[in-house]
Formats: sequence, C-alpha cells, structure tokens
Amino acid sequence: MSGTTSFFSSAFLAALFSSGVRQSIPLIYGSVGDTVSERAGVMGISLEGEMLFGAFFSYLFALRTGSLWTGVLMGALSGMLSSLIVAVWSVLFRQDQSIIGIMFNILAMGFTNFLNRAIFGTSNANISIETFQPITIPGLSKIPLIGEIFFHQDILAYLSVVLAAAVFFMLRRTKLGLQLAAVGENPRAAQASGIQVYRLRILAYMFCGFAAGIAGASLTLGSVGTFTESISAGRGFICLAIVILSRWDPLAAVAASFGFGSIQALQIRLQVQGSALPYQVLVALPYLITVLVLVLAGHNIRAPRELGVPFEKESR
Amino acid sequence: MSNESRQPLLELRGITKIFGGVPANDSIDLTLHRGEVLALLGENGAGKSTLMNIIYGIYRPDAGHILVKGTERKISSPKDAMACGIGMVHQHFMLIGRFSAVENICLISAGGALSLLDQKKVRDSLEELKGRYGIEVDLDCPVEQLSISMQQKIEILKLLYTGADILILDEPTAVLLPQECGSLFEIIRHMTEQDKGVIFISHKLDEVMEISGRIDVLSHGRVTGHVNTAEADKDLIVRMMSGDNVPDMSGYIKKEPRGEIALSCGGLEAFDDRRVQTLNGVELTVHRGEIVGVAGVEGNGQNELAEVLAGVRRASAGRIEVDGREMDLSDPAGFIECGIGYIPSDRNTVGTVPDFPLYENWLLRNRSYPQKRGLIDLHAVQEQASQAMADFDVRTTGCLERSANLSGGNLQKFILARELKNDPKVLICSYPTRGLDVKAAWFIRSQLTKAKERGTGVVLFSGDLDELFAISDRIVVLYRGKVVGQLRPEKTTTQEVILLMMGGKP
Repeated sequence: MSGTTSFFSSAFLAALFSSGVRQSIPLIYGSVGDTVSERAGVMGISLEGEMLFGAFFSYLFALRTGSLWTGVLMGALSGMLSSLIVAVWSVLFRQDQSIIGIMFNILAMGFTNFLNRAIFGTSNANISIETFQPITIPGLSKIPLIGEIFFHQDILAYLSVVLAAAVFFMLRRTKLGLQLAAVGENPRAAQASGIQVYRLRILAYMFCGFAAGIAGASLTLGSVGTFTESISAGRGFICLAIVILSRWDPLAAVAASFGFGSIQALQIRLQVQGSALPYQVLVALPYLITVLVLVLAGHNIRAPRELGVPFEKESR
Repeated sequence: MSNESRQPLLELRGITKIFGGVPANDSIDLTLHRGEVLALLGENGAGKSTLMNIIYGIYRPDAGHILVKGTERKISSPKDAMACGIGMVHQHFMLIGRFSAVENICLISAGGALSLLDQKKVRDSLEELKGRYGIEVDLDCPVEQLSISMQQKIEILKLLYTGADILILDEPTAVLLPQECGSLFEIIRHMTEQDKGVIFISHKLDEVMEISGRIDVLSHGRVTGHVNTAEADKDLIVRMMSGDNVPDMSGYIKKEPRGEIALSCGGLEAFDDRRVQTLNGVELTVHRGEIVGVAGVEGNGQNELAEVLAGVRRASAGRIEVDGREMDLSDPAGFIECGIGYIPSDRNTVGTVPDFPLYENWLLRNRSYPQKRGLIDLHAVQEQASQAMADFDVRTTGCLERSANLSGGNLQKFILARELKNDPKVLICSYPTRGLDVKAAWFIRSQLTKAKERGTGVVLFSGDLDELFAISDRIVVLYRGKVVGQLRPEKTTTQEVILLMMGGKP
C-alpha cells in the first residue's frame, strides 16, 4: 500500500475494506455473543475483559503448543470461564451488572498485564507467532473488488459470519431463541412457563464469554501475532454499541461491525498517509463515531425489557 | 366412575409458608374435586396468592404436603406443576408482551430447547381450542397491543393447551369490566363440564355466589370457613373473611362543614403525560371539615386534577389558593409546607419507594421529621413510624420491612398514617380504596371521616359511587376536564350522578 495512492483507486479501496473486514472480526464475535446474552437480559459490560483474557491465553497456548487452533480453543475457554464469574455474581447474587462488569474489566487488564510480564518479562519484544493465513475462496475471490475484500480472508473471518448466521437462525427459528427472548423480556412469565431463568441467563452469558474469547484470539492470532497490554483497546465497548445499533440482530451486527472496522482501517491509513489532523484525533475517530452514531441512531429503539435488571426467583 | 376420577384432583395438607417471620399461610388444608368450581375468598393479604404460588411451584412451602389425584407430589417449579396438570392464570398476566399469542404458547409447547419452532401446529391446536370453548381472540398480534380481557383469554388458552385439569384463576375478574365477566364465566362453565377442576380466587362476593360450587374462606393465612355456595349466607361469609364485623357506615351522620375555605382553585388547565389537555378550567372550593367527592368516568381529568391540586403536576393555567394564599404552582415542596396531604392512586411506586424500608418511606413528603443536631434522628423517626403503624393497624414485621413486602391494604394504611400525621389542611386522595378488600377499604374511609372531623378538607377521587355517597358531603362531577355538576349526596341519586358523568344534563 503506497502512501501516495489516490483515495478512490480500486486498489486503495480494496486494501482499505479488506483491512476493514479484518478489523471487524473481533467486533463480530463480540457483538454476536453480546446479542445472545442481552436477549436474555444480561449486559456484556465485561466483554472487554473477556476479550483480553481470550487474547492473552490464545497467544500463550498457541506459542507453547505451536498450534493456532489450540490457541483459539483455549482463548474461547478462558473467555467463557472468566465470564462465569460475572454471570454468577450478576445472575445468582443479583448484583448490579454494570459495576460487576467494570470491576471485572479492571481485573482482566491488571491480571493479563501481570501474567504477560511474569511470563514474558517486561521487554516489548514479545515473540511473534505465525498468524492465520488468508484462505482464497475459489471462484468468488475472482469477483472484482468484492472478491478481494471479502473472499481473501482468514478462517476466523469466515467462521464469524457462520456463527452470526447460526445465532440468527437459533434466535428466529428455535425454541431456545424464543426462550432467550422470553427471559430477557419478562423473566417472571418465562419462569411461569417452566423456563429455568437463572440457568438460561448464565448459559447465555457464558456463550457471550466464549465468543469474546474468540474475539480476543482473533486479535492475537489473526492479525497482530503477539499479545500487547490492553490489546482489546475498547473494542468490547464498541461491541455494546454495535448491539444497540443492530437492534439485537446478529446479521445486522455483522454489517455494523464491518462499518466500524472500516472506520478503524481508514483511520490507520490516514495516519500513515499523514494528515493535517493530529494523530490522536485519528486514533479517537472510531470511538468518537461510536458515540456520535449512538446519539444519532440510538433512540427510538426497544431493548429487551428486563435488560440489566436482576431477577429474583421468590419475590412478592 | 373409575377409582381415579373419584379421587380428589388436588389436596393440600398443612401447607405453611413464612415470609420474614410472618406466616402468610398457616397449615392450610384444601380439597378440589373434578368438575367443580372452588372459590377461595379472602381479603387482600389473607394469603390466597401465596397459597396459589405454592401450588404452582413458584414458592416452596415451609411445611405441608400436596397430593395430586391421590399421590403426593413435590412441586418445586412451575414445570413440575404443569407436569401434574396444574395451570394458573396469574393476577399479573404471565405473558411476554412482545410475543404473539402463538409465540407465547410455543414457549410451553413440547420439544427441547434446540427443537425448531412449529408455529403452525401450535396455532392449529389453538384454533381448535378456541372453537371448543368459545373463546374469541387474535392469535397473531403482539399481546401487549390487546386489551386486558383478551390477554386473559390467551392465558386461559395457554392452560387449555397444556391440557391442565386443575385450573387456578387468581382474581380473574379484578381486571375486567362488568360486561366482560359474563364471557369469562361462560368459559369457566365449559371447563367444568369437561371435568376440569377450577379454583377461583376473589374477594367479590357476588361473583363467587354466581360461579362457584363451594367456598373456602381464608383469613390471616388460615382457612376460617367452608361452605357450599347453595347454603351460603352472605353475612356469615363476610364475617368469616374479616374475622370480625365490618364497620357499618350506613348510620354515619354528616356534620355541617365549617365555614372557612381550605382550598379553592379556578381556571385550572393541565396536560396529561401524552400532552393532551385534560383539564379545561376547573373551579373547585373545599371547606375545612368537608369531604368533597369527585366522580367521573375514568380519563376525564381526575388524575391530572389530583396531581395538580397536590402540586406534583404543574397546571398550565389557573390559580390555587390554600387558606387564602395563592400557591406557586411550580413549587411542589410549597404545597407540602402549606399542609396539603396527598394519597396518590399508585401506592406502590408513587406513594412509596418499594425498596425503601418503611421508616425511610415515612420520611418522604415529611417536612418536620425529628432531628438531632441538624441530622435526621433515625431512632425517633423509627419510633414515630412504628407508633403510627400501630395506630393504623399496619400489619407487618416492623418499620424496617421494605415497603414492597406489604400487601395493598397495609401499604395504603401506612401512607394514610403518614399523610394524616400533621393534620393536613387539605388531603387529596386519589382512588384510596381501589383494589382493597372490604375491611381495609372501610378502615380507610373511617379514617378519612375522622380527619374531616378534625378539620381537614378532603378531596376524594373515587370510581366507587357507593363510597362517594357514603362519606362525601358534596359530590362534584368531572366531565371532559370540567366540573359539570355539584350535588349533595342526600339530595341526589346515583342515576343522576351517572347521567352527569356521561355528559348528560339532569
């Protein structure tokens, strides 16, 4: 990518949006996971922290075992197990989800930093590992522009869309999807129709942690190839915004993630090209746009009615 | 008759449930047979809902046994209850508002969590049930857009869909208009004809006499009487319900109000929450020692008038004078300081903060609480609250209890005690007895008349004409945001008032 290429040349656009797709992968996993747990009434405030755990452990295990897939699996499991802490506290002990989530994020940041320094020392020169390589889809990748952008990506990118589609189907067409929505809309009624509210909420939240773990793995094993401190850089919170924008619809979340990913890719390119704006403004761009979009498009929506409200089994 | 069908459908033995040290159910025995309607009567807080929630597995009993068709069953979740053939229509409907009727019923349909939804199959069997029981209802519209009576029919369909043969209806008529009750009773008769057993919970005597075969009376968590409806004597049942005699207000002699004007207002205009103007120039005068009843069909500005007079809603035009002094309409605290008491229609969330203990609720709207060195003297506050609660017969574990745990009647008595503590000049009461049982309602009414005798001017908004006639000195009728008539109850008839309420001219 040359710094002098015209903004609208097809080579520039292909590179920009292809990078946008790569940037969107963690956002897709995170927002699809959060869609499921928010449907069930539990907010994924701690997504950011689970992503960090996923990023660190996937890197650690991929490095030690030499297998990227072991890394992804361990990243997902670490995200899921750490989410269990939050799930138990917020669902069973009925604590405020925002507070638990924020505390958890601080814990995750400190803990992964600690482990990183304890295991790899304080030097910045973490060992890089071979990342997932792009897979070219035969045929489709030949489509001009589109092929280059969408069909020349790594396996985690393809799987993220498969996951989103599977969750979309699960929410729309299976009884489980109906049960999740019932638990998030009116847990008392859900309980009366025989659903075990606590169990379903915890499972939904663990799924969110699982997906967040893969999101973290996609950061270290998909693009960067190493773990750096606070590598998630607020993506967990962007996921929360994406879920709101996409109206708790996983396929819409894929589209919204692609939008945010592209802004991130654009921001990086503008920095490289050198622009009149101070680079700090560019770095802040995706976050500013998140806030702006939420302000402009975040009204007139209907969240699951009992989102964030702890449910008490036996209350009068 | 086979052996199974001679067995009672449901038997409870010695069911006990304790909430925070207070028994809500105290060793209750109950039997339900096939093809009968058993009415469970009792005042609010008598323990009816608790008992039903135990049968339905939402609460677990602290002691006792449940026998279904002769075998003992442990019911620890609604799922267990449904498996035993027990179905329940709750007082607050257990429907997901965003879902259609079909989706709501899909939730309880057979099949594991990962099974695909078969909405068509569910909808077909619902159509069949609708036909069989004569239920008319829209199956595809989100239920939150349907009327309450429609939602109730969906709840009933839900039970019939599960094939339940023990049906619990928890105060089903409390939410219905009188003309809607008929079709509900029709459905109930269809159900008993098909050998189902129905438990009908109510505190309305007339309905119980109409629909039930037997009556069990519950009071203070205990069964205090069994009767066959055919042999029932209304007075006896009322006495069983309340434990003692209901105060008789029929002989209540009204004294002439004192002359001074406590509150007067003129040209009041106000908008409701939807920004529709619902008050169009209300003129009203309230004297000291007088109860002014406000009658009107719901939605003719009563809520807004009550809120404006209490200072909590700002009038867009007009003036209010208390004791001859004009009020600043933008200053709700000024209304409290001036001695205006307020009993809002929503006692649970406006009158009190549900999560606060009672003594903290006692401090709300209270400008002269006990202080020590400029701080709240919590000890004195708690003492004051406890004393008032004792005076007003508020039954609970004490003033540390969260107000959410009080039954409607007890909570209303508590609010009344708080508002009457400093002998307000004016007391605005918005539907103070709505949803209360007979005894609690009469307690509230007699306290209002006592307050009046002490010189308070009471404005009583009520939908209950008997209540208005019994204790008001004057009845004003509100129609389309205006006072359209002022009548003396002893010189008018209910027909005349209703005519005015409908916008007619006497």
